[in-house]
Amino acid sequence: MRMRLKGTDGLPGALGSLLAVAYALLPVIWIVSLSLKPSRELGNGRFLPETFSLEHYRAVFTDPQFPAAILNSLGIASITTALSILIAVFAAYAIVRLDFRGKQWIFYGTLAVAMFPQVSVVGPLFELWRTLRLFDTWPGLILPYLSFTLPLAVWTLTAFFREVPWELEKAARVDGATPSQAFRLVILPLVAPGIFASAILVFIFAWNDFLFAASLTSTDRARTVPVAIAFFTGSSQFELPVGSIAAASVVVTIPVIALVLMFQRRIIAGLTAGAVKG
Amino acid sequence: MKRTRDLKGWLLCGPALAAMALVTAYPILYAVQLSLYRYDLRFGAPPELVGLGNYFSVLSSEIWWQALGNTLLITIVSVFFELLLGFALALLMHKAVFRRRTVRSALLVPYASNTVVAALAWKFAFDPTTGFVNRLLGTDLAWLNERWSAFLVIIFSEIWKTTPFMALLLLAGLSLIPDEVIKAARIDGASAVQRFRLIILPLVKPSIVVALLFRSLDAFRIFDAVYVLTRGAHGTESVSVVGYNTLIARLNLGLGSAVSVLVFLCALAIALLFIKSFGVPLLRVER
Amino acid sequence: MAEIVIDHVSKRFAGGGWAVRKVTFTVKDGEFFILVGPSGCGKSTLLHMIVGLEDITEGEIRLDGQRINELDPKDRNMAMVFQSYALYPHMTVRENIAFPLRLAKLPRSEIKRRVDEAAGILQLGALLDRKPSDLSGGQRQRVAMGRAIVRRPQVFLLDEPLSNLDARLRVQMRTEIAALQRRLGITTIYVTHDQTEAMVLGDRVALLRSGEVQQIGTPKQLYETPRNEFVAGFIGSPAMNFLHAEIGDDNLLLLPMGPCPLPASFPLDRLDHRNVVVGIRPEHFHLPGAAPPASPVFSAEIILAEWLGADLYLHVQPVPSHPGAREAPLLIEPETGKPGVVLIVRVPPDLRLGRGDRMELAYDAAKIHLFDADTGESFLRNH
Repeated sequence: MRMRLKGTDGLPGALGSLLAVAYALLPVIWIVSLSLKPSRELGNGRFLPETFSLEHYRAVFTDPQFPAAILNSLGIASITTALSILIAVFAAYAIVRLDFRGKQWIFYGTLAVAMFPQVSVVGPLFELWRTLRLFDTWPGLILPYLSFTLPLAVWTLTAFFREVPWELEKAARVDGATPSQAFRLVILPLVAPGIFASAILVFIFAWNDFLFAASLTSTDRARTVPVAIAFFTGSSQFELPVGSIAAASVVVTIPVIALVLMFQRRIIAGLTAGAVKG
Repeated sequence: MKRTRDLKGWLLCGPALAAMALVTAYPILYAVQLSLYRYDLRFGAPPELVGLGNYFSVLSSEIWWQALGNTLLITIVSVFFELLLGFALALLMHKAVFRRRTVRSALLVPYASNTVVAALAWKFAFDPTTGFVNRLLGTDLAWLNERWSAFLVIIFSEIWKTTPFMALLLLAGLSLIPDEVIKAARIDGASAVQRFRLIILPLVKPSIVVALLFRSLDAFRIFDAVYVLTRGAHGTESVSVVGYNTLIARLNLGLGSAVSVLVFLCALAIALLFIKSFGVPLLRVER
Repeated sequence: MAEIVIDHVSKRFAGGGWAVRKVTFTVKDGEFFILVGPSGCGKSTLLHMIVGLEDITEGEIRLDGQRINELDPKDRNMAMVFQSYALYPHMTVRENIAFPLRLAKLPRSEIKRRVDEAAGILQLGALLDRKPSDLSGGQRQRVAMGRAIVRRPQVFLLDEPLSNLDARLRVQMRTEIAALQRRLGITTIYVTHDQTEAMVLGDRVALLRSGEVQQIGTPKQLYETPRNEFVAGFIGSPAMNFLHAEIGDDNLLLLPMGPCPLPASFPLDRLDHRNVVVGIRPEHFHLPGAAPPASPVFSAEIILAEWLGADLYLHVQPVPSHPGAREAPLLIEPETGKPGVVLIVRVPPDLRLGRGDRMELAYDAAKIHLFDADTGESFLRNH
């Protein structure tokens, strides 16, 4: 345990913590506040609403674009997550458990992809997807998301797999388990929380992406939430429908934040262990 | 025996490598090919080989150089402040035992929130009609309609979004330092400043380098914030925005691909620069 | 019946070195067999090869005459207790013990009966619904034992099962393991680095070093007739004293504390004028009055006294008694820069002597060991 020095924890620490929390939450509170302001208050320049109204939320959900985008986002992000984690589990297992020649190339590969500027492949993908009829489809987004989330998934899973006492796998084998039983009955229950945390990180990436979604979709068929929000036009062409955008933003942001906060400990472990120990 | 183990390893990692290569290695090669053609979808003309013509066009255009300058500026300034602020937050979390959980949870909010949503929140905050910033500061500025004030908002929103990642990485680095080492330094007579400079800083240096590398390359490809806040207007385009506008908005695949390849080369140069100057510890082979 | 034959078994590391080299021995049915050696000697690797967790590079392992090299661990009907216990953290004690039976697809009622029986033997009844994280070290150890015995294996393998326990518990569990093994009569192979455990528990002991067997035999054989200097130094605590010596004219052994006639039971013809290493165990030193007749006597100065209640161990340095010798003993020899000769001797605990005191000591010349100074091989006595 770290020493608990009440002195260093005192006033400066408390003040700093308060500032840090305010810093992190300010824009979120602001957008929630905007979404609850009635239209006539939107221009009053106050941080908090004077009266509350749900009119923007009603507007967002009656507009057909937004529910379609949510469905697209959910579907695309979920499928990406499932595929990415499945593939990464195999790779992470091999990295942690097997000593094979050329292992470092897997690591270099993930590193290269993690640093890859996405804009460099937007053009070729746009052209390829049009010929392959993947433009403006779910697979058209799932494929690039899969590639770009794999480094994250492989690193975090590798970090979690390292923590597993692998002697248990041997014990299970001696106890009469086949290799697959040993993995299923003993190892999997132990790494499940880590897999879940990695899945959340992958989901966030896919859920939040804007560049690919803006480049490789054009209609409600595959357009995801960030694009829908960014291209929201509302009734008037010249004025941004601030209230509706704010309401839509809240709808897509709050669930993700809630999910992250619920599993914060493991998510931080996954996020940092991969990079620090890697 | 040994060969079967190699085979097993590659079979298990194969899908991951294939999936990563599919959408990076192959397309970047395709981009190189496209960049050698005049190929503009708006005119419907078949592609025409022009060699390095597109590169000459890009490299002689003021837009590219301005965007490159903008991007480097955004990268350097935001990563610099992220490091300072991130270190401060990491130290705060490291020391404030009782509130560590609260601060850490709060810091995950910017990380998990959507870049588009975050950029919009700042956009509305700085907006002269809907925003509270002008009222708060007693100013009357159209922040996003001026080049430099727009940069300020872009960099500000970038720092807000990504400092937590930096802070969490640095915190992880800090918590790897055994408590005994710090205690030993105290007993050896090191002051708080000396402990930081002589013990803590060298020990977290690997974490700092890793965080800097990741964040620099991440900041270099900045797109969302710039696009949402200004759409690149008022001379605020980043290289990614130039690439996107050329490729997707103007459908000029030849010229846009040249931009793509150049952005890729810049990123490669930044990565190599890091590895050369810091001998990046993350290139240690996994064991 | 379960007899294990290890037949010229070798294991090559990925790097090219040998982890285990041409090891051969037979473990008889019902025997308690110990593999002992310093860390890195290959004993755990050998155990993992027997249970099937490591591949065998060369040689053959047979169980009751059947080659089992290629058999999967699950088909060997061997149970193993790991050093870390390897309890499944997400399962209760009951589920942990039941795990092998569940994999063997035994009927539910039979599983319950056998788990309860094992729990009874190991006094785990009250702990069955707890998770491993709620158990003490000794309790975890017992659960690991329970999981091993519940399936009634043909062979029982234990990999340093006591090394994570504190000293008192270690002695207690040692006794329990010995009693359990005798009660169940299962062929047992036990790996340890602790020579005391090996001596106390084993019917027979194999001492390994750098992947090679040094000697196999009963604890008494290893103690009394060590095959080489390494075995002699490893078995016994405190360790045997080693002294460099020369054999002079008339079979006179020239020791730092004075000459000693070589006992005639040694192969004197092979020893003529050789350089040898002489080994004397601490318990073979005596006070002159208590020594067997005609034991050589020398004077010594006490450097350190370790009083253990039942025993007193003195670290002494012989004081040369020949004319012209220097007065006080030195920890470092000025001529050679080497440490001076220090002997550890066991004396009766009521001896009232301390640091700096001089005393007379005798040693039993009939109990000394002789080793080749170059190869370390023992010169065994003729019986």
